[in-house]
Amino acid sequence: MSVAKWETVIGLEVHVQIKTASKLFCRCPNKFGGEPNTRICPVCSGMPGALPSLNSRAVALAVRTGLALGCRINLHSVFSRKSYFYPDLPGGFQTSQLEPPICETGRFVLNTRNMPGAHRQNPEIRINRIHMEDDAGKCIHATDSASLVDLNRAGTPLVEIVTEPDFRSPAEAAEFMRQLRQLLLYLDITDGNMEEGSMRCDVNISLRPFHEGGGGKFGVRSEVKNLNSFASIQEAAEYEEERQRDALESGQALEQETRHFDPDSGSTWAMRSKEGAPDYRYFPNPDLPPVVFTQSFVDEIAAALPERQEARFKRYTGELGLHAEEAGILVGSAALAGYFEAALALQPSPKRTAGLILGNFLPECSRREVEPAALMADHFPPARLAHTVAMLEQGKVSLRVLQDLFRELLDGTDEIETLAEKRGLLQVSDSSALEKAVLDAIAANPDEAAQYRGGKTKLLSFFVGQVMRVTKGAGNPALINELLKKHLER
Amino acid sequence: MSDLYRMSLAALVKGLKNKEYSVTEAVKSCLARIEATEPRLNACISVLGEQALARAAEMDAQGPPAANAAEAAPLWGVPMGLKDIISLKGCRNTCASRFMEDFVPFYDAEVTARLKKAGAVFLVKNNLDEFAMGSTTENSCFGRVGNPWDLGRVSGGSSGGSAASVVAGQVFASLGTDTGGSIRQPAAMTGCVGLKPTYGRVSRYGVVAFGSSFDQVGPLARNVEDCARVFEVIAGPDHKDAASARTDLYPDNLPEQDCLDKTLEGKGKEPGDVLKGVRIGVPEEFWGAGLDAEVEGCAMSPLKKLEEHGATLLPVSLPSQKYALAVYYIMSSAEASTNLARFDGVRYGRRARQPKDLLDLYYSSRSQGFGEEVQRRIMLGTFALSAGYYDAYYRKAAQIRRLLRNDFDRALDLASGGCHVLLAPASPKTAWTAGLYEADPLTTYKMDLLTITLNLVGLPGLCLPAGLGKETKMPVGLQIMGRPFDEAAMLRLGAVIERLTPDIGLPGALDGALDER
Amino acid sequence: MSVSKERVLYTSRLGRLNLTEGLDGAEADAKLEEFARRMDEIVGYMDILQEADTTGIEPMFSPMSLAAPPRPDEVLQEYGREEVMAGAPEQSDGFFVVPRVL
Repeated sequence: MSVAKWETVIGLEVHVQIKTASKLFCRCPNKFGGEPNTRICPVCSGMPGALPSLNSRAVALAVRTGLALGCRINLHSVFSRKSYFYPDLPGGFQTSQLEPPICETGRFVLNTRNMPGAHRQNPEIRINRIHMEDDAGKCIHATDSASLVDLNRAGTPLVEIVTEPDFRSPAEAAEFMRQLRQLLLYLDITDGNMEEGSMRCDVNISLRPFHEGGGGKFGVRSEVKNLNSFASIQEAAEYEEERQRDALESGQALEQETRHFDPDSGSTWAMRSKEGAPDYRYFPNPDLPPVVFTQSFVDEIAAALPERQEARFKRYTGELGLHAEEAGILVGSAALAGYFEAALALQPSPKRTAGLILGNFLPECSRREVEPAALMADHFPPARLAHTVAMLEQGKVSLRVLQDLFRELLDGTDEIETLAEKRGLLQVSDSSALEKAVLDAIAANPDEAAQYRGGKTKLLSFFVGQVMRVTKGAGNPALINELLKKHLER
Repeated sequence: MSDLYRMSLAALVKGLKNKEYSVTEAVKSCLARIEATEPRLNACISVLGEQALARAAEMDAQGPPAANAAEAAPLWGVPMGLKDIISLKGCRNTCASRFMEDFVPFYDAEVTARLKKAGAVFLVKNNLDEFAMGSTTENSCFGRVGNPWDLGRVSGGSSGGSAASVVAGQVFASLGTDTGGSIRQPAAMTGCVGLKPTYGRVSRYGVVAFGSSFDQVGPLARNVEDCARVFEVIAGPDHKDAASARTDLYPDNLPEQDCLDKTLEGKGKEPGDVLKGVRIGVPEEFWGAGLDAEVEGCAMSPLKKLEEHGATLLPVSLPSQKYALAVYYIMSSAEASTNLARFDGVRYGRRARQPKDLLDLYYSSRSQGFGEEVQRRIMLGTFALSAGYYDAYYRKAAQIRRLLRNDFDRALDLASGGCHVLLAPASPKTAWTAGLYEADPLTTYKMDLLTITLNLVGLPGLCLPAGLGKETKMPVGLQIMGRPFDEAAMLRLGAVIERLTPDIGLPGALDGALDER
Repeated sequence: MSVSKERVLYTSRLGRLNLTEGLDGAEADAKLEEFARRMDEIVGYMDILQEADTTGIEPMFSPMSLAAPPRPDEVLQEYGREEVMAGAPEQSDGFFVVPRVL
């Protein structure tokens, strides 16, 4: 391998749509898609005389983001107007934070466990700042002569996370985006839906002559705008790496410029502006008071931050004995892990609790296309979950009966044992009642009984099935096994 | 009943509640007056005769609310005007701009909603300088407003239409907006009472923005009490305007609801009782060079009366005042340049015909839609914010704005012997002849010198007639500058001054026509 | 500080204004000259600011005081598309239409 001549330097600006109910400065719903221009009002459509009114939840989520990334939280920050004309920007300016932003100077340790061949192990990425701003609407380029404007997205709250130029390869940048998404999903800050543009990123990239140990003056950088997948971040950065290297090696001067990425060709192109460098004319937005809060507000949010994801995963797979896959799903969201733990506080069976969440509850959420959080709160709070687990554990109902009655359980107020009882499906653990079913099954299948006795003990499950069918799944499987063995081996 | 329009708002309300006459009669009286005075006065952009009569009929059918009703409706049946920059749902809101000629808002301004609830009947949308930028109401795409005292003179601006409309008897009160004197200066020039509230006292929601950190909505009326009655209705916190003040938190605040009581106290009590212990500041920077002699003489006479009745006059200095004009024009224009960016021809308003491309759409729509003064302010504001100039102009101006506020805080610091209010004229000249400064924007700007400062510092100002100038026989206005959220005390003092000052009456310039009818 | 014609043109482009709309040639030039002269006069007057000593003075961008805390995160949909788009100069299938961007 030849010694690298150039070192790649990358910094990211990540725009994250955050999970609030309403938009940043008005009360329109903050939701993706919908019929065009159906989620707009005087404020987010820039009508004359409309005024912004800041969403407090957005402030709390920005602080939460800052705390998760180890930032200093500014108790006083300011919204500014950033002026430019574009049809998807209804006010003629974006409301963003310049100085001071809500969070500054954080850090994120990039885990390189999943990056085979990484040059560096677990590099620390410094966060320069995090600020709040509103998203623009969307322009659709419909025909050769016309574009269409939909303002449903206008006013969606964003946090912009700006890193220092601390990445040294496109792969690191893409991996950061993956891990950042995991973290923000876990903390319920964003829905993390890349296809819907919930996380988008600008890549600032330059090359400089390679020195052992790094360092040296930065080269001329280009900024590739608006990348919305891990692959496009990596591809765009790799393309730029190569383009800049070719230019530098052939002695061409690079220009500091803004470029766009074309995912089809995998290349970037410069957007030539007739007007030279943009002049955004930032100044404090006179319609909005400074964002001011106390340290105790920050402390409350910090106290509500969940256990770090990795620590939780270790605890689940170790102490609680869950499988890695199970633990992985549970710790994918702090809300889900919290749900699991709340139920676990009421009864002692982690595996069964996890099994019920993963095997019954989550599939039902997907079937109904609802957020687990909604179903948890409205239909199946931790106490009911814990109670259901206890019923399984005590042998009152069988897993199969639970499976059959789960939807009904969610939709009603009857607990599982009541539902089972009403249908005569309470698990039968009375040996005299089961004994009859066992004897009947053996009598009805003399050939299989003979084979079993002849050594084909695998047939035991055949008999279990027969008994289960007769008892409609309500027989206690352990007891059936025991009774079958007793009578077959007699 | 045809001269109902001459009554005070307070008297009208009383008569309506006692069913001495109907709302329909009040509206008809005003409509007749409008017909007699328009279009010569040109104070109205829209006259909402049909709607107002329909509303009046409804109200008459229902009858006045009971005295103890939960909905007090303090303005029940009062015909009112709105400056045509304040949104009234379903009625075009032109801002006197070609850009907005056909724009019909689908929402009410907060002040409009509050007046509706209080029972006001909207009769006219008043003419103004385009987007409230101007001091004469000559910058209107609907033509200039005449002064009811002399139609050849300007009415002041930018709420010149509201002021002229009130003085001419077209409506009992109107709302204006004041960014640099746009309520007080036309009130002074037409001889009515105008109040610019403390910044944050009245919601700006639904009022087309000019200078967001300067704009306040306020009433214009024919006397102090009428002004207070309207003010009480529109004042108070609104969650839709983030700059709206939680006035209940202010340490020595009198709540909005006390303003009328205080005004009546000023009207009813002996001046000596009200003025005892009141310290009135006379800021030298507002009385110095640049004032016409007739203005100085006329505006000074109420001060002497106040002193005779026991108030203490104190000389006061506001040394940073000399920078006020520059600070004002930089900061208000900067804000305006971004506030007017939304007028781009994409979602509403004027769009140039067959634009070549998107850029052409922007350039042509805006250049065809905006008048010269508006374009000049956009240019000045854009310049002050642009790369390389921000620190020298915008930021520097904001620092001096702080110095100005410090000057006022010192002058009005009661704890260390400061004043309760400051008094000054509202304009260096009485209303001048139309077209006088047309080609000279800087000189016109300088005419705002006495009113802009309060907008910079965010403090309230009440302007009321001091008399007629000796030379021009035109009204001269006196301005009461008060402590933050202290409108009640200013209104009370205003009511006292009103009593101590000879009534200038209503202007005669328009009445020939009425008599001929 | 003097305001050049170039500066005037640059500024007018930022503000999306064509100061010589409907004029061409010598007329347009004269208009621009006149505008620059007026603006120079006004900006020249503004230079009085530089006389003030503002060392260590915190800028006051607004006289706002006692502002309420940010609003609760609650949804309210008050308006329909028809209302909001009623004044649109051009629309199609629920979209605002503009000349093609780029």
